[in-house]
Amino acid sequence: MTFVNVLRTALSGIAANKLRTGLTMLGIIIGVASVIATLALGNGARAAVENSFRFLGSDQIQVSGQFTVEDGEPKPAGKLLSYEDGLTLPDAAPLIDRVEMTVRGSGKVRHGQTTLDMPFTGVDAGALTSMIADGKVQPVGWPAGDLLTSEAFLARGRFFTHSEVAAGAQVCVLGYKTADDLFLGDDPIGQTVWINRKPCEVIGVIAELETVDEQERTRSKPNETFYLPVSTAVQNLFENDPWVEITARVTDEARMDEAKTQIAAHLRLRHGIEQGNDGKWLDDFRLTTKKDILGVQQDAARTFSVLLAALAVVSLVVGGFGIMNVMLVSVTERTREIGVRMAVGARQQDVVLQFLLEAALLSLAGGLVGILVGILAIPLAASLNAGLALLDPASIPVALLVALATGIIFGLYPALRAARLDPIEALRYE
Amino acid sequence: MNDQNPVIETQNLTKTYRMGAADVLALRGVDMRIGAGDFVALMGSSGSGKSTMMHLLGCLDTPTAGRYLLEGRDVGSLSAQERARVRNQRIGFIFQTFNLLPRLTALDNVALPLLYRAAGGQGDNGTSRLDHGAGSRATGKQSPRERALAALTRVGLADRAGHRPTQLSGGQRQRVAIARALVGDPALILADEPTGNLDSSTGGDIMRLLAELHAEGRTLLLVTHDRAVAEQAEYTLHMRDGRLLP
Ligand SMILES: Nc1ncnc2c1ncn2[C@@H]1O[C@H](COP(=O)(O)OP(=O)(O)O)[C@@H](O)[C@H]1O
Ligand SMILES: [Mg+2]
Repeated sequence: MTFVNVLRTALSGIAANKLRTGLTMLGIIIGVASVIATLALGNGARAAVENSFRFLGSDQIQVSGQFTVEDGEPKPAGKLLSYEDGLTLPDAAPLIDRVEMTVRGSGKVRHGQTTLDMPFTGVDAGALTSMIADGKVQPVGWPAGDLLTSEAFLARGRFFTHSEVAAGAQVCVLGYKTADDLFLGDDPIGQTVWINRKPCEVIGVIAELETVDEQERTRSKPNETFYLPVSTAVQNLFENDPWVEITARVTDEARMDEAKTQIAAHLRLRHGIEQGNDGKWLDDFRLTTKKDILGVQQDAARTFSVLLAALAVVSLVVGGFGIMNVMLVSVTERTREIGVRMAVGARQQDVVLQFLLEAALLSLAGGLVGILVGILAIPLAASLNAGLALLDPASIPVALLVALATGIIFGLYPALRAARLDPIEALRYE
Repeated sequence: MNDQNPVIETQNLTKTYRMGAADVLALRGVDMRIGAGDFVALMGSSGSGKSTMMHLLGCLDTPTAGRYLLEGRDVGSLSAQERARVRNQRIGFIFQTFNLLPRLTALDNVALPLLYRAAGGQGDNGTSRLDHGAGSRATGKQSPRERALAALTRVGLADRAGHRPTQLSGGQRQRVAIARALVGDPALILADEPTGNLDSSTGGDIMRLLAELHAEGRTLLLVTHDRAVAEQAEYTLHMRDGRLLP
């Protein structure tokens, strides 16, 4: 038989028993819907991490200070991460080839008669790339979905070079409004501004920025700021050692844990950290990778996922037995039909194929409905899991395959039973 | 009778049904020869083993002992799959109860044997090349639906192609069944009391149709209780208690 004919035969077999078929498909529907929801939970957690930690590449380790809360105020648990900590890291940890450091503060910037007090950021040469990866701000009116480039972030001039950062050069890049307020429309490139009474040459102006999130636009002022090389900022703008944020890049993504060990050893040495009574290090820093964050998020989703997965398995088995039952009844009811088909030349494999396909179509139909139900159930799953559930497109083929497999596995026994019928016995069946 | 190349040749064909502890000897060693192009009636009282014989000849059942050569080929040594192929390509079986599939139209019922032919990639050329080559080649190019429609036309039911069996009279159903038996261009047509469920005038029509098929050169073996029906055949074989009477 050609496939089309097998399909036609199978479809007409299903159509003959609509009600019973629909009822027993319920198990498959619930099972497949659970598969969709389970995968949506995992995907939701993943997407949440992607979104809030976009700046952290999968080959990067974020080094941050540990804080304790005393009298409602956060206090550093030990020593703060210093610029020196970061600077010495690539040499001390062989797996780290580069660190990016950021330091934040606020300072006075003066040009002519105008003095402004505003937050600034000490950054590395790659700061624009990091800003793009972070995805929180964009040039005003940037079309959604368009790829951002470092060039798009600059209104005039250029950004810092690696050598300027390494040398602690007296250069700065101004935010759009800062440049406007200080120079009133004149070209600031090449001019000198005074930052905390130190001269700095303006080498660039950042494009006018807005937050991507429209609700945050009234609160944040991304254009009232200025940027310095992190080295320059540390030298010129702080009285005490400032607290820096360090992102370390690992040369080999497969050896993230090893890299962490190297960083930890380096910082423990520099911070004079000792082991507690239980042998655990009393670290004053924390090392985070994207995988770590993902793991935490997924752990949170796991309990619920396990429940859903169990529901999926149970319903699929129930649905599978439902299909098996429908098919067994169908085979019995159609014993004569099988006899007739065999009498005109259907081979055993033709009969197996016919009933297997029927079971597969049944389960696929259940699967399709189940996918719809699953998609509709995602908001419900999200509300039970801190809002984290997102349809994973890959879950649709997975769910269909699961449904198909269920139909074929549970349809096999009835199909084989049909094929093993003796033609003449089957023809005699009343 | 063409004795040189018999379509059917059985030797000591025996069939025993096991009914609990007792054995029912349905066939007690039947030697039968039917030549190509013969039209033979098989008669005998109820329970004499006619249907059992027909089922064995139709490869629907297997004998307990003895040999059955169909077109010179020992069918007893064939696998289930090969026997399915023989049923599909060499034999057309007409039942007393028609045995049409109720959910299929007349046309689809007739086309059914052809559908099981396409899958194995074994067209009609295999065995039919032996002695029905010309007929097969003539129909080989047509689609199953075209061939089914031609067969329906042959039995005078082209205008009922889209009807389901329940929408047809008994005589029309048996015509559809005959078309189904014909459509694959078999070497042998077996009919087990084809007029048994029909009134005598309708039964007469069916017999005229079968006689026409014989006139076209087909080999027919027909079971009947009706002496008038049997008289339309070339000759009659008689069975009693599982044996063929001399
Ligand atoms: N499936 C079966 N199981 C047991 N006995 C059977 C079966 N089929 C036929 N018989 C017995 O075999 C004998 C021959 O039956 P059958 O071939 O149907 O005769 P006929 O067609 O001539 O009336 C009868 O005694 C019948 O009871
Ligand atoms: Mg009988």
